[in-house]
Amino acid sequence: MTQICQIEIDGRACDATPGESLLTTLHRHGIVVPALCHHPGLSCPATCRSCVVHVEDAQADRHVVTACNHSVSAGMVLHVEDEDSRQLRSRALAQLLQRHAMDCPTCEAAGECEFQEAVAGHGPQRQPHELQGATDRVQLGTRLIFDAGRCIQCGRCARFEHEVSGTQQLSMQGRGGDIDIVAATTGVDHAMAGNLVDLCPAGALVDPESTFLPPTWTRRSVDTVCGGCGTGCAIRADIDGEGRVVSLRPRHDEQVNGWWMCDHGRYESDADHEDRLALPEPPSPDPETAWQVSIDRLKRRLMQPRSAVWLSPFLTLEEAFLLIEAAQGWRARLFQWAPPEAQEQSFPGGFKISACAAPNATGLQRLLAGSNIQAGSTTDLQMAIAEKQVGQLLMCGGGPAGGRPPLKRDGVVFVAAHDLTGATAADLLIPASHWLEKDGTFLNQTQQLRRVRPADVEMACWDLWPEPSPIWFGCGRQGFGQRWSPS
Amino acid sequence: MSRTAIAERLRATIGESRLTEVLQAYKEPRGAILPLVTLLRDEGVDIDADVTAWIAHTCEVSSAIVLGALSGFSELGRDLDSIVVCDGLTCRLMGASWVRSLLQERLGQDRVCTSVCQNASSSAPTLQVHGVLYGGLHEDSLHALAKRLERPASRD
Amino acid sequence: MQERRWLLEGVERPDADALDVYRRNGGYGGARWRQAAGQDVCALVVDVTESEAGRFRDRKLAERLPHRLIEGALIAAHALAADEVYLCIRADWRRARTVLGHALGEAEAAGWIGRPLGRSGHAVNFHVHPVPGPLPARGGDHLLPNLIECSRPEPRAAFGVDALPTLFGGSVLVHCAATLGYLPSILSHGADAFRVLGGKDFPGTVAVSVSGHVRRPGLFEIEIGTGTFGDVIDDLAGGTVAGGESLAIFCDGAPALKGEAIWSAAVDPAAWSHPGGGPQMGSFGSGTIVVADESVAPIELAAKWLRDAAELSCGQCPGCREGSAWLAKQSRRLRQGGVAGVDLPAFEARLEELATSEADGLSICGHPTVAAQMTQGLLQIAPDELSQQAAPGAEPCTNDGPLRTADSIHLRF
Repeated sequence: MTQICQIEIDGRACDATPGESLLTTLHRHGIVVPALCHHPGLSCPATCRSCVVHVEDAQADRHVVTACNHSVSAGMVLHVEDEDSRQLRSRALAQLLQRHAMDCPTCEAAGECEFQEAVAGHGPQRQPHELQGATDRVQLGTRLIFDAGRCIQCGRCARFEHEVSGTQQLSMQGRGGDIDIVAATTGVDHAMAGNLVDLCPAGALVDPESTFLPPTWTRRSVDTVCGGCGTGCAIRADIDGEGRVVSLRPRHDEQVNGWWMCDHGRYESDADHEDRLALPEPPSPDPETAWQVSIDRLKRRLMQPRSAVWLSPFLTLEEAFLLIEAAQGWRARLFQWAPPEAQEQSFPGGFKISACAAPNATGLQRLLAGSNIQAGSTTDLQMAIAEKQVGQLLMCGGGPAGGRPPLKRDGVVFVAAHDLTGATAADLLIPASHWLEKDGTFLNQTQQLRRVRPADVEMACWDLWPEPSPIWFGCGRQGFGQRWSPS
Repeated sequence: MSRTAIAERLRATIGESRLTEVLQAYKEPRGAILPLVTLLRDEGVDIDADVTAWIAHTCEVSSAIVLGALSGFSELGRDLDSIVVCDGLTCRLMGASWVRSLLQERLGQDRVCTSVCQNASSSAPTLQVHGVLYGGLHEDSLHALAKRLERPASRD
Repeated sequence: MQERRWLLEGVERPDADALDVYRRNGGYGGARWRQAAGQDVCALVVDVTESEAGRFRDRKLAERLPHRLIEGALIAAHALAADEVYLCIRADWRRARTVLGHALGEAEAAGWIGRPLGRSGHAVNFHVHPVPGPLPARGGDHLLPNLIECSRPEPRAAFGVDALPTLFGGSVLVHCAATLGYLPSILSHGADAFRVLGGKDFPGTVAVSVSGHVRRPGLFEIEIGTGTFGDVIDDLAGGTVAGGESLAIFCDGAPALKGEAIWSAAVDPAAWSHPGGGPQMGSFGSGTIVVADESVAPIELAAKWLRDAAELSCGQCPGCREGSAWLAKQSRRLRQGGVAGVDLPAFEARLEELATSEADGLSICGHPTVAAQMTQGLLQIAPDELSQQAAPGAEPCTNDGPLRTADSIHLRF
């Protein structure tokens, strides 16, 4: 039971939790004060001074405090939105603006820049500015550029490097008017570097590949989950006007990924791979009926004896459930594969990159265990093939090429592959959906159930199917337009 | 020079027992960054890129942290052989700018630099060279000092 | 533990609550000691650094009375049950470091440090932590622990109102070197004997650094409340060399005083607005003064002050970073005169803004405020000269003192 106490904010009585920071309390009551050096996932240095508010003491004297590093106590009297407090915050922001490069029109962060919002909402409406010459943009890593003219020396990046990634590849350097950021001699080359771009409140750390993208306000976003590994970070996919995913950013999920995601999930999702299958292969003479023809062919084959289905950890729980049901109708044997075990990467802040490079391996196992169904491993499948017990095989994929273990075909009469690309040799190729296109749920390696929502809607094949319905190939997005039946 | 050779030279310069003592004084080895920098500069070792890398490795931090530390103190940016004239309030009142210009004239602009108050104001004007503080400088003593410093740098 | 509690209570001032805004003003303990009494303190961090111009109290203590310092620190560490003592001393004070190092060796050889002592069997380890300069002058007690951890001269803003600073996860007490030097005599002669000297709220003595255009510059230990700074300059420091009206600059953050006003500035923290709440405006601090005679223009001093402030600034808060750097540039232009002149109203407005920045919460440690207030005080002494100097076409005013001859120097090492 959390305690509640009474405090006063601008004359109104409000509830608060004793010990919580003033900033959190104010946010909870819908009062926004800028807080540029503060980040909930990092320690709090209270250096930018833009979150100052007035606190009244017992003698009714007002003192100025920074909301980010002062805690609530019962009976506290706060003055936040009075003229004096606004003036102070405006002065703090004016100081930060003093030598800030005023290149909003061309800045990558424009439209989603915390500093821009803070100044627009709380800063001075005009002030004298020292014009600075253009500053160099320094490449710190493959996808990281530092623009010193925009830096407001908040220190978030240096603290991230110290507290979250533990790599310490960025630090404050110099002092006084010359204080600046310095990178390690290796540059910034660790697996969480992309978070630095999200963290920077002022567009000083940017992704070079975002420089010429259309501005952020032309995009919409979808909340979903990353399918890069078993961690299953909560993410937000930004989508441009043509429905293509432009970038992936982490969302806050306290139980899973905190505030962060890794660079592999962020930059290497690869949904737009040029070899993506759009239609089943071998191609049908009439594209309108291509899907129907291919599925009918698949059903006919798998209904025969000695059939097997090799389940993929990239299937959502819903897809896997329906496929298992269908396989049971076909009396096909079930097998499952998991990607080869990599090294789990742990970071001091608690963030982990899973050793399993697939999103739903745990989910699949739990589904099978819960339904009391046995599914053999890849080795079992290989043995079954060697013993001539498999005549027809459906291999499920949905992950990166080469992720599924190789298999010796060895006398299997009919092989169908459900994949993103046509890389595998098979008698029938059925396009799979990428995790950015899926609509369903994953169970991550820590047994957290999370909803994955379709972000990328570019695949043309969907236009052929007017009625999305939950069916095992794609839960509506890549559906066949008809309810599956075993016969 | 290889990294191992550099490490050996630095460890020999500081002394193994002193190095252990310094590293064990703190709960985390990164507390030893400034003490190690000071010990090396006391011994006349210039903190270049190789030494920075060794300090980073020994204190289990990245080179960025050591660079951040070195750049945070103007004292560490000075050449070990430089003549540091105090430019503090009292020393200025007592003629520090003349001290500087006289020495610059005799010894060259490169060798003479200034610092904030050296905290020996009762002996103003002061300067430091090779770790020794000279105070109460007046015209005659300055000329004598300049003459001594004209020879190749020696540590007394 | 009983003995130690007595020790802590014995040294605190009677009205520690009134002094709760803790700044590094030569602190006598008080609130911080009481806080430490209730907590596990892992280390004592002794501040043997001083960055204020004209101050040399701690350096002299380390060079001349190293054993007094060590003994005081040892007593404090036992009182706190702290196992480690970190003596943070300026790296460029080579002589002080050498002397202190030898003294520590002697103490260790005699079995006082590094070995279990007394009935408690508590062993205290001493470590010298050299700190290169310069340091932000008003870092407060959150500067040194952060400096040891992060090797950057940046005061860390405290969380909550009065938390003890932490070092690698453990709480530490940061203490000024000079006042630790009182502990051996307080313990030997008793707290009451100590309280006989000085005033009710501020007992004992204070060591005042006096330098500049005086005949006998030096460090003078004075019983609190027994005189004014004018008395110190005339009686103890031998008066000014040139005679005439002198200008006393109070280096710990108080307006400069000229002429007669110096005789009303008591050597008593109780008489000052900070920390004693008295009528004298400004911060008493360590009582450091620099005396200038009429040959130096206040503008010159103000420019110097701002330049030093910019150099000492750590740069974390934008006020100091942008503000004092800008002011230093403007003041240099003031000094140099020249064709363009200086926009005096803008300069004064910015100065006023910085002067209120601490109260306005716009800086962590109050450094830009002190710098600005000191500068304002100096400029108020000669307002006509200020506007003259700011006008376009003014001549440079570089009135540095002349190079001295041998007979005009008085050495006080």
